[in-house]
Amino acid sequence: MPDGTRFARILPYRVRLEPRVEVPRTFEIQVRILAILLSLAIMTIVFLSLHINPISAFKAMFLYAFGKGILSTLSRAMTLVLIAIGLSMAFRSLFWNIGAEGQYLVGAITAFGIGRLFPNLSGYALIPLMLLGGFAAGALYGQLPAILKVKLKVNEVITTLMLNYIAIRLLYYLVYGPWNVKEVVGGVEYTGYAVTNNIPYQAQLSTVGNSTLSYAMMGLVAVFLIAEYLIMERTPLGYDFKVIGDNPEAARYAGMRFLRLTMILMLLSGGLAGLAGAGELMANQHRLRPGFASGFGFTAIIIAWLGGTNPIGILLAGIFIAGIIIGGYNFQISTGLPVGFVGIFQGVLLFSVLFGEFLRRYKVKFERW
Amino acid sequence: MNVQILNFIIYQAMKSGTPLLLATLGEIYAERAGILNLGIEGMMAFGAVVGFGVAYTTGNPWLGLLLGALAGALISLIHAFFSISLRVNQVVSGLALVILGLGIHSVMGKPYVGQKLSNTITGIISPSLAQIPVVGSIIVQDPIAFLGLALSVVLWYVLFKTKYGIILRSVGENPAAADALGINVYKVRYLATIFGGLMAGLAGAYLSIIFRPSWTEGITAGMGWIAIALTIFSLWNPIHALWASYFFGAISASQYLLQGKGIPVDILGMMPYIFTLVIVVIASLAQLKKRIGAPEALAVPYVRGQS
Amino acid sequence: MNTTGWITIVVVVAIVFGLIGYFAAPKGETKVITKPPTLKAAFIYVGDIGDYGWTHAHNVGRLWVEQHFSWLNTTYVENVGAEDARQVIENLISQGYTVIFGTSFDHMIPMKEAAENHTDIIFFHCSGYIRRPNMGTYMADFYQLYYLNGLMAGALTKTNKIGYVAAHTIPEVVRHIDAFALGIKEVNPDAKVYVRVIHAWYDPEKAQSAANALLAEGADVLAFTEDSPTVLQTLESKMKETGTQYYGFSHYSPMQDIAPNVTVSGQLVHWEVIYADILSKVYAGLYTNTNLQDVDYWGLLDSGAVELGGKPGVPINPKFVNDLKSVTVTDKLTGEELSVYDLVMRRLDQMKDKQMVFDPFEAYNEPIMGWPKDGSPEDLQEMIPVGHRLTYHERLVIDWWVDNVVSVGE
Repeated sequence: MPDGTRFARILPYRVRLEPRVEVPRTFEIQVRILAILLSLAIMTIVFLSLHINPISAFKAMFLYAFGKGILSTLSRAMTLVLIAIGLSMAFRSLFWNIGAEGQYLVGAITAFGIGRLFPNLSGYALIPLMLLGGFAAGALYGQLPAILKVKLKVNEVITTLMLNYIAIRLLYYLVYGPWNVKEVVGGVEYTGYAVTNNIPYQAQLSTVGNSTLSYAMMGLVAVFLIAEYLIMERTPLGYDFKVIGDNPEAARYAGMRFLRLTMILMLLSGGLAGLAGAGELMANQHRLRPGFASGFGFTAIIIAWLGGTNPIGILLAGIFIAGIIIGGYNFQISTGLPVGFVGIFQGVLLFSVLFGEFLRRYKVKFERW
Repeated sequence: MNVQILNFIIYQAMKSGTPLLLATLGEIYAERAGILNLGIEGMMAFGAVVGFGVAYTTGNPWLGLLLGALAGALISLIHAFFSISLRVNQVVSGLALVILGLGIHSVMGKPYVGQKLSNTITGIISPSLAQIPVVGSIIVQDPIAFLGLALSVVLWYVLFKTKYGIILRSVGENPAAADALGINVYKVRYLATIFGGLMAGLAGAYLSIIFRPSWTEGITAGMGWIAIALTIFSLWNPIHALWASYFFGAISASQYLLQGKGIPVDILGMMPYIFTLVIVVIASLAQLKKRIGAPEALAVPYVRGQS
Repeated sequence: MNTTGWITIVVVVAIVFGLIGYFAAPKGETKVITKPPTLKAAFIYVGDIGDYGWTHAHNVGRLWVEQHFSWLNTTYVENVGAEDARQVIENLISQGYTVIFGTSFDHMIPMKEAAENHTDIIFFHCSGYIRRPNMGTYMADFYQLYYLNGLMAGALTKTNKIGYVAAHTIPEVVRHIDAFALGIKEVNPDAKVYVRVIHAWYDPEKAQSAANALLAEGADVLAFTEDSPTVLQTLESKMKETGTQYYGFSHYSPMQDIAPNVTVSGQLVHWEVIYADILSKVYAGLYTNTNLQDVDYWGLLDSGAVELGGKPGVPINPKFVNDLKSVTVTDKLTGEELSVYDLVMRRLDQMKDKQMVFDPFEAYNEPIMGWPKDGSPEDLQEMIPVGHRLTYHERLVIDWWVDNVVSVGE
């Protein structure tokens, strides 16, 4: 029986998908451009059917995100890329860590806690301490799903997902409870509000101009992108990660130490998410609040997948996705359309990129039956 | 425990549990066929807005439920096409579906904000029956709650006791072997994904038409994610899904009974998730020998002639 | 077909559609401005304008000023959390917006930072406590309405258990619950208040569970703070199922028509009153980027920024007017006997009056007792001594419960 579904027989052609063995670099780039153009074409239809000028809509989205708003885009990208680096390694080994959101939160919480504990420490000591604390907390929080998966075969999607909710509730508890704001403004002490105090001033990372793009986050992203490349391509550890991902059964028979490898994997994946949480707290938000859980851990999943374990790929994917988010706000301001359109736009764009991925991996052939 | 409290827990277990159950049942079928669809939240949101819009415009809540379910099926086709025909990464496709579905729901819902349905669907209204312990809180439930109950039995039967169930499971466990037996893997996977969308759409429409029959944006409020967890929690078994959903509903509801007794609200709020974790671990301990896990080919695209 | 072919097709399609779009877009869409507006104001919302709660109400206010002031041009940005507020503000400023409203507590710190960086821009922040020479604050507060709702709740309850579903126990909500409890106490000293916290501004499932839990514990009147009509609809359907009369109070948006058989009254907001005042003063040059350090709006009944009722123009659902007229109480100020209905109307008039002869947070004949938020109901203390009226700042940071609030989720 030929490839393709039976009901497809009504067509005069059948579709055959041939995996591409070698993909030239220029073709990869062509495909990505094609995907973006495709999404623009679809959105043009959507906008036209709703009597919206598509040109101004696109301009509002992209010209701003990669023009005037580039610092905001980069700032958002740094946090997301940091999470995505860890996720991409986990995904490469088929560990479906949906829990970056929770790991990000415990990272921010721990960093905040350290800042709260040592408010008088010099910035040179406090900043590394808070960042390290964030990394350690995320890494530890990632260990439970790792151990449960290897030892008891508990599906990591459910454990990481549940740990997200638990981290969110922990954040709420701390913000409304022991870490609740107490600050004196105009001679009156304010407390009870849905926020904590600022982290110590010396722990707030310096940023480029008025933006929220911090030098430290750029440095961390650069370091970990290179580290990822080195780990994945130049060390036996990276090789083992890939083997697990490519053929888990074979890896098991080859006597690989699954538990140790998975724990290291989640140490990196959870740790980087935790570090991102600490960085976001120290560079941008400076305070914890219930809304600190804003879905970055989920957005980073998309980036990790788009970029694969290729450092350049992750960076570009991160900037692209951050651009869509930042551009989305400008899109709202310029067109006056409700935020739902941004979601539709982003959804269409993502599916187009997925379509591009498909074209990159398969050659489509039409043949007569 | 007095009768009111007992009745409340049972009542709320079914009320909060039903939308979760409907979405979980659909996801179980999709995942049994090997398709992981993380887009439940988006499909539910789309089903909710279409369902509400139809029920609001026509005044017919049943039509709203039907078209809400169909809307879920329609949008799930995108995921089916991308993950089955185009063989792309199912996690990303599912996440994209969430973003898309929530976006559409927000845009489409704008005209209905603050509107309520003049007709909704209620269960048997009999204040005297409602007072009976346990039974009373079940009797007053709406028809869709009973539909969910019945469906979990029917879907369990189909999945484990019929030829169709064997086909579905074999496609999810070993598509190559299923293909060799002459089963059209692509078709089965398409149908299972669409069924998953249908159920998610119904769950969404249930929320906006029966659970809380007035329109505000974001009515799904994260339920789609809980359904994904419950799918795994129930070990891909429709009967387990029934009690897992009700259990989750009961635990979430009973935290409010324990408030004001010195335990922090957020520690109580963690309960449903901690319980879920603990039960999954216990279930895994018990099942380890029998190896009941995810369908072997879950989230793995099927390519003919490979593997 | 090869890849070049694919790309060509898509490019052509995109260009064709683009051109169609460029030429076919309705001309009205391109804003043709004959007389350039002289003031550009931007509103930053934390939620969706479709929430039928907080954000929806602010947007109603924005639309009102946009419509009524020909010299005004407004825009809004939805779904802006604290993580995005700073870049959104930078963007708005770069597009020429000179007055920026932040409508969520979450925007306070980013706005403060932006106000310090952009001293030439006017900022107004809602529900916070930080001001700058170029950043004022504003709020429309419901405590008077909750007190009036409390009078009705105390008169209507048959079980003497009254529930409150709270999103968060921030000072604003504590103030509202206390005012509600004081109203209840004034007409019914035996009734107790039970508070259940859901820790979400918007979550229908949690709101329904909490409401039903309160009913199961015997409450028959519910008030709430949550951005949807869930609690009222829960009461409405429970009433159908059990045949028991329940009572509820609408919150923020008009919800009486959504649950007509249980909604007694409620709280309504008119942000347009505050927005109109601020913007006309900015336009007239009364508010500048240097004199806002002490500008703090506190919209109460006397300003018209808030209104009693579950529906504009209907302070009390007619369905319950007779019930309220049949309960007699003593006015603690004058000692005269009157119906609860008349008491509500009298207090409403007293509070609408600029003289403010009455305030719920004043202890008239006996001290107001309460217990600290982080303590237990047994730790009763004198919170307001006789003759004292809580100061503005005491209200802003209120952190204790009135003594008839007996059970609170902490």
